[in-house]
Amino acid sequence: MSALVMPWTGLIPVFHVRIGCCGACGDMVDAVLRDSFKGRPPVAECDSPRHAGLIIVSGMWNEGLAGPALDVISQAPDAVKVLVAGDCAIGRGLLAERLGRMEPVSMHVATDAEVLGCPVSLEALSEGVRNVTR
Amino acid sequence: MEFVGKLAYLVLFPGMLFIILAGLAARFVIAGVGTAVAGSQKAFRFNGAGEMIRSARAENIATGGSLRAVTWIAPVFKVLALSWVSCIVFGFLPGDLVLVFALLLAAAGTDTLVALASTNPRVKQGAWPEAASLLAWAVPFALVVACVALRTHEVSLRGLIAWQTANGVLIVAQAGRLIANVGAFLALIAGLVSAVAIMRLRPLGRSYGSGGPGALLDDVSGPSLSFFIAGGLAMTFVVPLVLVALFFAGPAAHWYQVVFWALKAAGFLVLLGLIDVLCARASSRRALAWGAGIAGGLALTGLALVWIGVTA
Repeated sequence: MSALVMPWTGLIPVFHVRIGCCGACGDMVDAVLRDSFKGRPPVAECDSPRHAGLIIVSGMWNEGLAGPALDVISQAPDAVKVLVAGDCAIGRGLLAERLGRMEPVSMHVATDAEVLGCPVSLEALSEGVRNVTR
Repeated sequence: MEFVGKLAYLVLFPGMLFIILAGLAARFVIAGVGTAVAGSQKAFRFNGAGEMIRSARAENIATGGSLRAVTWIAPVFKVLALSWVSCIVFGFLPGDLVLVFALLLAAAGTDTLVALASTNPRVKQGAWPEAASLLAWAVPFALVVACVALRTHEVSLRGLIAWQTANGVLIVAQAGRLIANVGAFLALIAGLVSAVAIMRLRPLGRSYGSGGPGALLDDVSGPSLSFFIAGGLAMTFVVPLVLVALFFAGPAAHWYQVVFWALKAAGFLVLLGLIDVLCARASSRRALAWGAGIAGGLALTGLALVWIGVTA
């Protein structure tokens, strides 16, 4: 977070909740939030859920991190939108097949959009973010 | 009626509304310098307005303990104190150099208060670096104010401006000996260093975002966050204005003379923007050592030279 909380006008502040797994989806979310590329959605990363207009959740919902993740998400404003990124967070994919059962994030948090992929592609994630923030 | 008039000065012109709008322009200049040097378009797009408006419309999430009251009162107090400084510099309200220094100290001190009042232990850890940053500019700036008062034998800002109008700007003033002008020049450098710290610019200032996972404003949201942003913008305008009044004041009877004042303030902003973009942010200990130590030493030397220059 550089000068005065959010430095650019017109950008939607995004808080990333990474609840852990292989980390590939989290890296793609970081790329959307931090890198420069053609077709990047108008977003900027923020350091506090209280400032967020959009929360992106990536990773596998598990007992150990569910409580802290919910605590963090509950700090966000009521109007915040939640986007779930990646197959693990949606409760499907390679790991879900191996484990037999995996809870999707949407069972615990009201979500506004989901982006599929293992890992999610940059294009799909950008499109998903653009759609949910429109 | 007089009271209503003073209230209008504080709230409208040259008070709150004016300094926030002027602060937006000032931030634009600093960001423009950053873009010119670093070549980043992102820097140039920054002006703070979007975030301020968005925060004003966003939900204020209640925090526990004393922070809830502090986050509402502190930023308003900060903007009010800076409005008062602006009114004094513009000559709408009477005031002396000590009052200007006290108001700047009170305005900057609100951030330390927020860190101290936070119930978030990570934010509270930032209270010491905030206090260190405060000392880094307050010590040299107090000596700078003393230096300017000794050089001109004026304590009121109006008198100081009139003195410079009659004798020329402080560093090349015709009154007194040359050594006094050298002392004033050292005070100017110390004043610039102080301005860097108070405006939260690199290398000595602390960004609102610095502090690892517990940045100062992480717990603040909604309209109170908007006020904090407004306070930061106001500071960006008021501090260069004070520097111009202290060191490069001149007449302001005609419109072109007012424009000349604005150009001087813009010159300071360009210089501060250059310092900001060319330097890395120093740690709080180093900022304290450079600010209170080196800049304070410069200001003290300047004070001694001015004293020799005006008494010998």
